[in-house]
Amino acid sequence: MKKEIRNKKEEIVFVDPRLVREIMKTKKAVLKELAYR
Amino acid sequence: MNRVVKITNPLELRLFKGILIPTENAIILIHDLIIYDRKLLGKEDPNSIRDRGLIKHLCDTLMDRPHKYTGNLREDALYVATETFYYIACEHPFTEGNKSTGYVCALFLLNVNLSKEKPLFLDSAPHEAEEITRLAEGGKEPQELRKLIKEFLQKEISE
Repeated sequence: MKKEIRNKKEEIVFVDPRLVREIMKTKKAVLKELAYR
Repeated sequence: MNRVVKITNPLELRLFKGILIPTENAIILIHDLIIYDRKLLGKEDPNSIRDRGLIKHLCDTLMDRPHKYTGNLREDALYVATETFYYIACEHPFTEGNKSTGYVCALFLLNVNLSKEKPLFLDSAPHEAEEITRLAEGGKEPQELRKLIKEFLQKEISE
């Protein structure tokens, strides 16, 4: 059980949210259109 | 009711079968970013969650079906992105912003799995929103819908 928990922790990867912001900036026109649907 | 959010928190993903898959926290954070952006447009959409169980189910499903992974990076990345789009955009775990969140989550997962440096995608015309809306409205068998979503996402990475 303990090993399972440790393995799960090792599998977690953290990613900078700025990548999401960049994608959102690239798709700004689509997201703006979706916001009003 | 709005939750207090911190949009600078790192996104937590899980490495499974050599593919990065979303966690509940990552999906909720991306939704918060979408809602935050809408506020800048003057919209007052809430960032509340309608059904957290759906988000959990998506994350569990991606880990509970190892036979769905082929070992081909592109195929597996598309599988994860398609399931994520389907569960968020079509099943509506949030009160508002499901289509946008499903779309951005799917693109984000394709990006982190296929290219780790910069966004893969080109700007797209607003008419793409119509296609996303049509997919999200469903009206088809889940497997047929997933096929259409995969085709749609495939176009994003082949442009």
